Amino acid sequence: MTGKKFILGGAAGLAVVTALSVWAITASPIPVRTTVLLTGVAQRPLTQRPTIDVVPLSGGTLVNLAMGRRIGATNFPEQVLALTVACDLTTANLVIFDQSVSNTIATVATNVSFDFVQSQILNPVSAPALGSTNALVRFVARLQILPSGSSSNALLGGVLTVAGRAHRDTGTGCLAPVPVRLDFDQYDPTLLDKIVPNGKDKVLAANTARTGLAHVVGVLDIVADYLTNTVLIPAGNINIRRSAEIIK
Amino acid sequence: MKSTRWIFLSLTGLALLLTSAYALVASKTFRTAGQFFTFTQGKTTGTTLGGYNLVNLAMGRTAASTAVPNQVLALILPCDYSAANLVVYDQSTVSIVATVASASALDTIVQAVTNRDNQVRFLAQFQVNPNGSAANGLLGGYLTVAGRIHANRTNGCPEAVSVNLDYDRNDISFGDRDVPRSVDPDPEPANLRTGLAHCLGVIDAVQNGSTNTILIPFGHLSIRRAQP
Repeated sequence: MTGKKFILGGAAGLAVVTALSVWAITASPIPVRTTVLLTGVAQRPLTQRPTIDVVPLSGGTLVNLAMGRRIGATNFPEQVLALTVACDLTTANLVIFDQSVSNTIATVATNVSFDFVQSQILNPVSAPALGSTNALVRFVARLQILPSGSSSNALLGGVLTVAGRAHRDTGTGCLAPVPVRLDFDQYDPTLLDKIVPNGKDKVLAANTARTGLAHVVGVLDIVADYLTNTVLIPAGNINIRRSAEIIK
Repeated sequence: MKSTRWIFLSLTGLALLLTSAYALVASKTFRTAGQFFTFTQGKTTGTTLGGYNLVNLAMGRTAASTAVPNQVLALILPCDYSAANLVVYDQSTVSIVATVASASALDTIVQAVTNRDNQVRFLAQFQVNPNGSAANGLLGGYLTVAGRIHANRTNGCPEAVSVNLDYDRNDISFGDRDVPRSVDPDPEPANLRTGLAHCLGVIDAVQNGSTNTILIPFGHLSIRRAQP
């Protein structure tokens, strides 16, 4: 009798573990609303004296360029930047998510490398909604900008090197948000990880949960109002928020 | 009289041509102190590596070795900014003994500054080269480096200025700062500096026979004086 119970328990456990593992590996990563504020520096065109302009670029700016719209366009507020990271951490993409149709409509950048260290639970946070405790994953990713847009406004290419930290569900491996008040790390000031203020890259929902923070350096080749330019990104911040904000 | 003038003009032209050619091909090697904040699997806290730790690994020594203090990290930049290399420079033999990383892409922009050198801002994507021994070495990886340097207004070559004149209003927000001597020892006085930079990246290394991936979520580079 005891033996049967153990066999039953073992089989059930195996089934659950297998199902969870398969789900974690095969589950499509959920786009996580991601706000971005980059500080760009670019050569000012058409001047005799070489001059550098400081160009702030928000996630909304990148979305507009990728969709072929002018940098300051405000006519598609439902199209927002999001990050998709596979639960096994093999892939990461910056995408444009259309909240009105709940769908990814373009890929802005895709990873050429994604290195991470995991299970460093420096700030263990209980995430009851997930039924598990979070783990912390630290990563450095190299994202290649994909050409997109129109002849007048576009992203032509470039690369972003992103270093950050994110909470991860220990059960599925997928990235998972925690309450914002619990999302802090002792290394945030050292690594210049900080919050993107709400007004700098529009958001539709209150910032109550967050998956992690990251910072970035890189270079973007862009077309803005028919002018092609290279924008160096010496600094930038990325807030990886939560899927609930984009999947209503 | 006329032929003398032509000879003079020809010689002047030749001199200008040679100067231009020099500016195009000339490279300078700058002592560059490094400070790299790192995370590795198996450690619960971050650690800091100095430039000398990378030098040691590149030369096949244990990361913490202090046996060869004359071998230091340096940055080679040509005057036309067509390339960049992070190297191990031996100050005792005045020679480059290893190339730690080579830039696979280098983007630059220029700011003219009245009565001073131009400022060049750059973004370089370095590929780490395999170096060292089976026990201690660098296996690969990459560093994305963003920074600023002073450039001669006439020939464009990078050049050091007094540390007192080397500042930029964006240094703090970009995370550019000098590297303390306690992190990367420097036998030379640090009174001259060519610029500052910061970096993100990943280095695959073998230390005491164990291979590991080292994340570098932030690092600082202090590009100092030109080496002989």
